[in-house]
Parts: sequence; structure tokens; C-alpha cells
Amino acid sequence: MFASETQRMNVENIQSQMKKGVLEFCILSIIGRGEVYPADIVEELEQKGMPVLEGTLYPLLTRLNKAGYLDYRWVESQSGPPRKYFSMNKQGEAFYQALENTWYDLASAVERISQQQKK
Amino acid sequence: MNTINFKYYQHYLQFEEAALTQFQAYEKRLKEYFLNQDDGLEIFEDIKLRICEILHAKTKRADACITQQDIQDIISSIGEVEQLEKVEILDDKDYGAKNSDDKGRKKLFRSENEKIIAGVCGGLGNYFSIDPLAFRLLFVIISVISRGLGLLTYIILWAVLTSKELPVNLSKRLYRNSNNKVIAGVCGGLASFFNIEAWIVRVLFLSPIILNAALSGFFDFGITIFNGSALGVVIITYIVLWLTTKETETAAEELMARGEDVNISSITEEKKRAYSGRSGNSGLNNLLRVIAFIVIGLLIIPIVGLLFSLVFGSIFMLPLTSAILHTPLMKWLGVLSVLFFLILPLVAIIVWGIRRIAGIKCPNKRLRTSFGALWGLGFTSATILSLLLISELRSSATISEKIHLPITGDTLYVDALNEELKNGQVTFSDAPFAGFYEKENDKQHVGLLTFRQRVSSDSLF
Repeated sequence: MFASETQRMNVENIQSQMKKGVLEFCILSIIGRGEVYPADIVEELEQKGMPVLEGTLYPLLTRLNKAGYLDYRWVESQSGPPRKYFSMNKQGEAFYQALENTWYDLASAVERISQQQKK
Repeated sequence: MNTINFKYYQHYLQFEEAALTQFQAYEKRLKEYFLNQDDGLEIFEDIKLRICEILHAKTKRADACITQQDIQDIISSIGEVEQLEKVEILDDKDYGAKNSDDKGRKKLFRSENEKIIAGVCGGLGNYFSIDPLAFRLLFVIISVISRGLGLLTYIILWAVLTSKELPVNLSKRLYRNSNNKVIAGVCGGLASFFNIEAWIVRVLFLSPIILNAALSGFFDFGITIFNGSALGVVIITYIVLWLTTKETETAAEELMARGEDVNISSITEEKKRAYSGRSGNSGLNNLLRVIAFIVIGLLIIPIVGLLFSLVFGSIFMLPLTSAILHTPLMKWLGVLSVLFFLILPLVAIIVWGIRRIAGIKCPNKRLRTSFGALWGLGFTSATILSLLLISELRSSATISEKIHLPITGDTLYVDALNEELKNGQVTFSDAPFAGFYEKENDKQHVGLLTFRQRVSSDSLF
């Protein structure tokens, strides 16, 4: 599929960069709907076609928490270890609002640009 | 295939030998990767916990042994280090602007997230990094003592300050302790908060009652218990704390209450220590408990008061005992009744109170049976004694006769028959009457007159 290994690497790099900001936006929209367990976020992202590793989700959640956008709460489970459930606070909602505006502007702009017919 | 029992976060998991080697190597790689990052330890702990959960779920299968395939599943779900490095989603600097609010001079706001009425106390708590509860308490007590000054201050602050969502900056919160409680767990919670023994807090809370009782004597114990401003402050404090704090429901909150780090190992330990097999309390159940406590409290106070009065009453009756209890058997029965029927329950209630305060939970069976047996003895002797007295009264009732004293003036002058009567406070069984005498100057005041058996041949009657 790719002409060379270098090209494959470059494509992957850009892909992950493209995913970078969008993934965060998606995660925040899931958490914005209500308190959620990280594994459920992973599952939903996968179902909707944006697979993500748990190993990348957890750092993101921790940092969003440290930045003051997310809160978490320990919930003990009947079997197995306790779980951290994440929810969005007021600050997080404002943060998400800003991302959402950017995303829709960006998406429509990208659409207009990339779908433009060749002259 | 060799299997190994491996302990991972309090859970024993059965691993195939090769799977365990693979797993440990993977865990090591993850650890090295994450510990190089900011907040890496927390991230790593979270991931470990998730892995533990997955492994735990896997062992629910029939074979209950973790295979290399399971480890492979975990690696593909969590991600191999190289994959994670590639995605490397966000650096901390992306959130560089986050703390701009906090960097300037701190401002006082009303708290939007930490509020009961308008968030004034929540805001003050945030400003001084103190539990808002301290301010709530202060406001209520000042309001009560100063007849509304605290309330006024609160309303002014309410009007002056703007409301804002404030971050939680407390590592320690006051909770009511659900594991260590007598009434609502307030004292237990305070004890965890200040890291002292619960009984110290309880004694402090009870000290006004004890002082009151000690100062006013025990006779009007039941009345004075509701008096005294110190007691008022204590009761208000307790109720305010009761209403404004949450009871610890989870091990995490229990740790928060002591200001300890909330992380996975401490939670599991705490859970094991105190919450194992504890069923949740429903709201209705709690309400019933509160009502039960109030009823018991309302019952115990008068009972204690009554017992005290009876004990003291019987002590003051001492001068009369030789008159009423005139046989040695009756005397013994009397002593037994007072000791075991009246004093013992008092001691038992006090001991019970002390044990509750000290948080001794295990029932002392020996103590209970010996208390029960002795009280039974007291009860029996009291019953026998009263039966004896009743039969005696009945028999004497046939002979006794009411005498109306021919009182002519305000005062009845009684001539002392001998030296003892002149000194007052002496009762005779042979005298024409037994009762209370008080000597004041030269007069003898005669209280309660009880005529016995025969009318004296004294010239006065």
C-alpha cells in the first residue's frame, strides 16, 4: 500500500497528530453526558469507529483531571479492584464548549476545502 | 503446564508460568515508560488497576488460569509501549493556561460547588484552605450567641461576594464516621480528622453535662441537663456537624477523612480493614436509628434521674430505716434492694455509656451475666421486702388510728422528752411519732408525722 517504510511512518505520524486533538474532544463529549468508567469510553470509541488504546486514554484522563476539567470518584466494586469514575465539572464544560465550537468550524472548513472540485 | 499463584493487588491470580513471565515483563516496560512522565505514577497505578480488573474477570472462567493469550489480549487493549509513544497525545504544556486564575492574588468568592445556603462558607474555606465546615459552625454559633450578628455577616457576604466555581483545595475533609459512632458518628469523624481517640472527643462533648450534673447535684439532674449555655453550644455544634457533614460511605472517603492519600493500595487496605461485609444503610433505616436514639435518650435521662433520686432518697431515709425495717432480715433485704435494685442499674448505665464512648464493641458476657444476676437478687429482695412491709402495714392498719392535734395557734409546741430530741435530727422507734425533726433556734419543726402503734400517754396528746 505504501511506497516505502518512510512514507508509512509519515502517514502514521500525521494520522496520530490528526487524531490527537479530536480524540480529546470525543472523550470529553462522552464524559460530558455523565459519569463514566474509562473502559466504557474505550468501548464506545471503538464502536463508533475511533479505536483507542487504554494506555493512551488513562494519561489523557489524568491530565484533564490535573488541569481541573474532570473530577473522579472511587467506586468500589463487588468483585475485583475499585474503579475510578470520571465526570465533567463546570470548568470542563466551558472547556468542552470552546473545543466544540472549534471543531465544528474546523470540520466545515475542512469539508469545504477538501471537497472542492478540481478546476 | 506449570501454574503459579501470583498476588496482584490483594487478589490471588492463577498464572501459567510463561504467561506470568510475559506479564511481568510487560508491566515493567509500562512502568518505565510512564514513570518518566509527569503524573506518571498515577497513570501507571490507574492502568495497573485496570489490568487487575481484566485479569480478575478472566479468572472467572472455568479454567481460572491466566494464559499467554490473555496477556496478549491485555497488551492489545492497553497498548504496547511503542504504540503509546507514537500516539503520545498531549503534553502538559498544552494546558499551560490552566492555572492563570490561581497565580494572581487570591480573591474571595462565594463557592458555587461547595454550598449549603449561598456558598459563603464554602468560599471562605477555599480562601483559607480550611474545611468550610469550620466557618459554618462559627456562623451558627456566633448567630446564636450574639442573637443574629453572624446571620447579618453572612447576608452581607452573600450580597457582596460573587459566586464562582472553586477548585477543591483540601486534602482532608470532615466526615461523620460510619464505623465509629454512638449517635451519628460526629465524634468519630472529628477524631479521625484530628487523628485522636474518639472517646476524647466524646468526653469533651459530654463535659458540660458532666459538669452540670456535678455542680448542681444529682437531684435535679433531669432538669439541669437541658440548661447551661455550654451545653447549648455543644448540642448546636453536634447538630450542625450532623446536618452539614456526609457520613463516610466508602473506603476512599474514610481515607479522605483522615487526610491520607487516596490511592489504590490504601483503598484496598482500608476496605479490608473496615468495610468488609458491611451492608449499606438505607435512608429509612437511618431515620429509624435517629428516632430510636431520641426515644432511648428521652427514656434514659428520666430513668437515670429517677434512679439517682431514689438512691439519694433512700440514703436520706436512713434515719427512718430502723423504724421501718425493724427486723434484721428486713434490714438486710433493704441493703440488698438499695445496692442491687437501685444502684446497680445506675452503675450499669454509666458503664454502658463509658464502653460506648470508648468504642468497645465486643459484648462482655461475664459482665452482663453478673450484672443480671445481681440485679435479679436486688429485685427479689426488693419484692420480698415490699411484700413484708405491705403485710405489716396491713396488720398495723387495724390498730392504728388517726389523731388530730388540737392546734390552737400557728405553732405547735412540743416538749422534748429527752436530751436526744433536743439535739434534733434524731428519730426514735419508741417515741410517739417518727419523722423529720429540724432544730432552729429553740424551736423544733416537725415535718412528716407518722404515728405508730399506740397513742402516747404523754400529757400533750
